Amino acid sequence: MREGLSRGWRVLATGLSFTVFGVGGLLLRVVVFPVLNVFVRERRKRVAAARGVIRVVFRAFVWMMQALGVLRYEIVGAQRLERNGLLILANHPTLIDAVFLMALVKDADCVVKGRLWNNPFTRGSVRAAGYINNDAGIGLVNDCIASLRSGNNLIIFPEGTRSEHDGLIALKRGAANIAVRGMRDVTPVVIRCDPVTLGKGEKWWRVPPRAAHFRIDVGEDIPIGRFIGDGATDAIAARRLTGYLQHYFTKELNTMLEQEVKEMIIDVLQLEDVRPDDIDTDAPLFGEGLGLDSIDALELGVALQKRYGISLSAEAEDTRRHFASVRALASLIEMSKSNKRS
Amino acid sequence: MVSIATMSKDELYAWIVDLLAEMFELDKSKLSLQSNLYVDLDIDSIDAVDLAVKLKQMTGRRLQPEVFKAVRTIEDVVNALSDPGSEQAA
Repeated sequence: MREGLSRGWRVLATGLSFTVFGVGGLLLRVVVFPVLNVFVRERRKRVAAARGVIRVVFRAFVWMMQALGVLRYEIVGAQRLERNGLLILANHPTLIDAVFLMALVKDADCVVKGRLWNNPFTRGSVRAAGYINNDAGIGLVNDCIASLRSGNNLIIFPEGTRSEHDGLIALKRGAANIAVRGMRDVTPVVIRCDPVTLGKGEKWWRVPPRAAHFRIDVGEDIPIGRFIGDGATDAIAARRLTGYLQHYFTKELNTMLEQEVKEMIIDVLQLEDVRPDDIDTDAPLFGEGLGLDSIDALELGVALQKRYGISLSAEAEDTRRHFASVRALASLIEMSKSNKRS
Repeated sequence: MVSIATMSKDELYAWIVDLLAEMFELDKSKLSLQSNLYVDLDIDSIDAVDLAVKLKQMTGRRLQPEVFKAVRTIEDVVNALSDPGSEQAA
């Protein structure tokens, strides 16, 4: 009953959020930016002001969604973004990743899908802020490098679109080419949303069973130096970096999922003195390792069903295998995700 | 500078395969006349521009953009290079 209520409320609140986003976008387009155009004559200052406005608005928007109970979020390493000229590459699980990043990053420039240039709710903002159009073709790489050189922080989602449902990361090479040719270190941002919501092709009113929880992890810079040099052409260096990033995002997302599983175990079994870091990812959960028993197994089974929609049969040989360790549980969750969607 | 005017099509093909393999770290044994640059060799638009620039540097010939845009397979590259009409008038 309470869950039904909470779900109903979140459908309403999500709808409200979309409405606010749309109306806000229109207001910016027909009121705020035209006024800005009148008072700030110099183009460079005008663009900077527009970007500042967007950042403030997006901060308010994130705050509102959290206040409405649509989502919760935690950010790790945000201080790493307090610099200039950063090439920020992020994975793209949901529709609101860009909102988060633009709210977090000052002097943000962004590579934006061509479609948003003509969308009535976004066109005012992307044009006023002078973002970089994804459809620009060959000039795109140079435009991006120029933006970085002028001190902007450039946000790119190297997947080119939202992630596929199976959670696999497939990067295009444009972003790596910018890093290689502009000789910029990469500041990676890993975004995980659990449960998945507002992913590719998902309807907004299909809200998840619980409020979406975002984890945004700003990683240490990846130095470009190790990919260029030793006679590698730009094309080869970009391939190497893309391969590295693909591996990096996949690995980090996995680590986040394992962390989540640990938190779930602690939460469900009320292991009060245990912290997530105390649990070894590969140690057996039952018997010698964490020392769980069959009652704990039942409770975990119920939690898996509730949180991830995974049903395990008590007899199946597989079940024993899936409960072997945190790593095994995490890969079970990962697998069930791709099976469900395909 | 490589003089491609005197090369036969077979020689041109061998030369281009070498060049592609070197530029993009490809396995030569997997390349054929029918290999599609974009589908089979995972070359993207940025790589294609690199390739056009490299061809210009090495042969002194600038391919017309519309000719280069129509290129799909290695065979297309060979034909474009061996056909004098594809060169941009200076």
